[in-house]
Amino acid sequence: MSEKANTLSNRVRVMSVLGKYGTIISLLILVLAFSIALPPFRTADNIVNLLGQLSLLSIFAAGMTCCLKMGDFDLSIGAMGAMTGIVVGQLLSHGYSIPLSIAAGLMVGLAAGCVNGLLVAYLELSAFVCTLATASILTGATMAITKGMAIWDLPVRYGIIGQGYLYGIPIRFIIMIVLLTLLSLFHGFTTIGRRMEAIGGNPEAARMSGINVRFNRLIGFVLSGLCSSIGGIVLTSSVLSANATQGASYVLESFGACFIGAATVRIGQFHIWGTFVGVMFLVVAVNGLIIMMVPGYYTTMIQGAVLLLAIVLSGIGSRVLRR
Amino acid sequence: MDTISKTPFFEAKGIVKDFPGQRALDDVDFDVRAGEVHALIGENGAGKSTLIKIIAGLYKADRGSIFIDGKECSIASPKDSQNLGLAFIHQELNIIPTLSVAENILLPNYPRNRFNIVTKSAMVKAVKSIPYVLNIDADLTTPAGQLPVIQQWKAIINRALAVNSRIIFMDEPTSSLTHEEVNELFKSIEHLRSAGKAIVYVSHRMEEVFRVADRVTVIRDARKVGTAEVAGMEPQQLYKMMLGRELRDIYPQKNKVQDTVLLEVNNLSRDNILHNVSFKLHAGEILGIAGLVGSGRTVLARLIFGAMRKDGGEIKVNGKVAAFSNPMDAIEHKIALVPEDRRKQGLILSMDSKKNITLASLKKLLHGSFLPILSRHKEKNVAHQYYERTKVKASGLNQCVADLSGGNQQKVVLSKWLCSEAHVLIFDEPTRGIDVGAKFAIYEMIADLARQGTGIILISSDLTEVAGLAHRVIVLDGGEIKTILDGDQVDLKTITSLLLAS
Repeated sequence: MSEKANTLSNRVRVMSVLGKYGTIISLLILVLAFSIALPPFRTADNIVNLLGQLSLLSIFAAGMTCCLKMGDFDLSIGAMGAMTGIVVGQLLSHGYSIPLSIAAGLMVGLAAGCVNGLLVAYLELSAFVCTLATASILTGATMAITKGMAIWDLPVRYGIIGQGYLYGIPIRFIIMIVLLTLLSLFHGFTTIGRRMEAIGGNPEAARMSGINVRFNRLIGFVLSGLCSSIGGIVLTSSVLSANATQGASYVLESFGACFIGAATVRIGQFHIWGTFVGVMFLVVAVNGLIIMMVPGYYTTMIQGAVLLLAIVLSGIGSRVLRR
Repeated sequence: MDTISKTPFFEAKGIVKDFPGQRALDDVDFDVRAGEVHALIGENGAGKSTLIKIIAGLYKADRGSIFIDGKECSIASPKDSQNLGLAFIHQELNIIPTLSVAENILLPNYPRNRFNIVTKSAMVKAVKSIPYVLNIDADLTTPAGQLPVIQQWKAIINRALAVNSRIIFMDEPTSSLTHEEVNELFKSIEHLRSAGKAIVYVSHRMEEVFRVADRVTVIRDARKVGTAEVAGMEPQQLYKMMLGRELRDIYPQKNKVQDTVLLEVNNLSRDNILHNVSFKLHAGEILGIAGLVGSGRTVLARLIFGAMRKDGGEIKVNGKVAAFSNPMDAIEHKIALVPEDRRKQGLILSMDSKKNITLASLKKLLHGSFLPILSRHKEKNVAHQYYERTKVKASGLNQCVADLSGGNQQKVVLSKWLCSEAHVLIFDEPTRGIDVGAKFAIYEMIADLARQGTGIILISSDLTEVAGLAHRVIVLDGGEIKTILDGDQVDLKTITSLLLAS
């Protein structure tokens, strides 16, 4: 009897470890398999390239995590990033200084995040519809500003953010790590972070415990907007150009990364480092597929499938997406 | 009463059921006589619903046997129990809301006319021809979901009559009914009894036993305490059977109320639910609120706590008018609410005890006064203090509250408010769904808080609880204060008769 109970509890333990660390283990297996099977994968050039892609998606996905943590989500992150890029690009090409242009770019995310937050948290409209609408308004506006043309004449010095290196490490990777560290400390160690966690767990009980649910949800959208703006700046700097459709692909990929994150270690909860694992997983998978010469449309299909799988594994799809 | 035969036709003998880690039923006997109303009562977790589930064929007993008309029979599935003439009505009524009342009653055997077609008129006729059918106050062709709960109940009872059931088991039937509906249900039960049907009435409300039952069986801690005739029994005796101690030992000594008024409510109103409610709450006072479902008791609590907007009236805290538009303001003013539904409104189930306890007082956990940064060290110390004080039983501060028992969850909710240093604590159904041990512990804590000068508003449908703890009792009826009982008037009989008089 006790032996039976023991093996049972052992099995439960193994399952729970597999459940908790399953995504990390799969990521390691993926990296290992690609390194052995695909020589181009393990070249220094490719690794630097990976770090770059990792950085951009992580920045966008970190913002999305802030919203998802509270059961909200933000479909406008790509559009906010693109608008930021255009604002910065316009200012720079009109000869304004780099710090001033960047500050103006961050204002875009701040303002758009506030609007999203007011609509969703204070007017209690659906996050899905509202952020889809603001995304469409922003994208339309960037098209109108640029007449659909890309901005090319950005100063080379602006490129340092996206293309520069510090002690051999890409600067955008450093920016991303600093941002993620700050956000995860914010979530884990501040009163607002704790309140956000409570709202994510049960908004009604949070309200009945004296938490200002609306304000905290607004903060989530503002953080998402700010991250998107940082993402937009790093993105335009990386390619030294800005256009209206930049960043659109980050919405779906961010969702994927966040849900993989919610199936990592703290099952059912969105958290910054989980999202980072999700980003690594997606970026490595896509990179490997490209090296294997799998056509691009299949990678989109696979990303969609991974998102679905992650939603199932995290077990929270139903709860969050019901809103 | 003369229709009751003295010999049981249904008997369950020596029923034993083990769940992993605990025995749910230990050698329990239970019998039913034709034409009797037999109340099966016990605290939450005593084992009464396990027994019912075994009889229904939902669980399999580990030992024991069931006899009907003296013949042993095996019940392995709900189908078996139905064939033996047993019907079960659960709290969540098994009604299909989109089907008509008649269709619900006749499920699954619909009458057909000579063309083998199911027609509405044939259905209605079939329902009317059920022996002893209860009259339903509605068109039998309306969707059942549109009916008031009591009419749905009657429809389900009719379904049991349609298959000619001999015993109808009702599980906590009054928990979702209003006062008038309870009366109507009791009339229906009377009707069933006169038709020779036996009714097993499962409840944890004692006062109902005295209103409807002929006999009562009490289950406590998985064992049968005894079966007795209700006629000539005193409530105190039944209490002792149910709780295992004398009523006067259950409730702590009442303290002396102080003169300071902590909270004053004047003409508080909310459209059709609450009308001009006024009262004062003193320091050290336990103010009971007795009322049935729909009397406005929960709304009153939510209005004071700012969880709902009031339409009129004022609230004064320590003599000053305070306008709360949300719970945040109320908590600022040291008012707290232990809500009716702790899982939905009281706890963040995904967080641990530590985080739940400190949730309403995060300011206490700050590193310094400059940045809103939490100190893990302070968090642990603060949470631990209240965790110890309310004697939460868990594997530790880090255990997820979703995994705690109802009683321990309630202690965590209470800890949260002790941590916020509330001066006025509103308890809405504080002991619903928790085990006896935790119940007594919560009584002790409520009395203790009052002794220390906290003002307490106690809302409960367990009237003995209200009578046992409160210094004064507001009887709430239809959103209005019917009367406020004070001193010697606060006793179970007075409150019960006031509530049930209509």
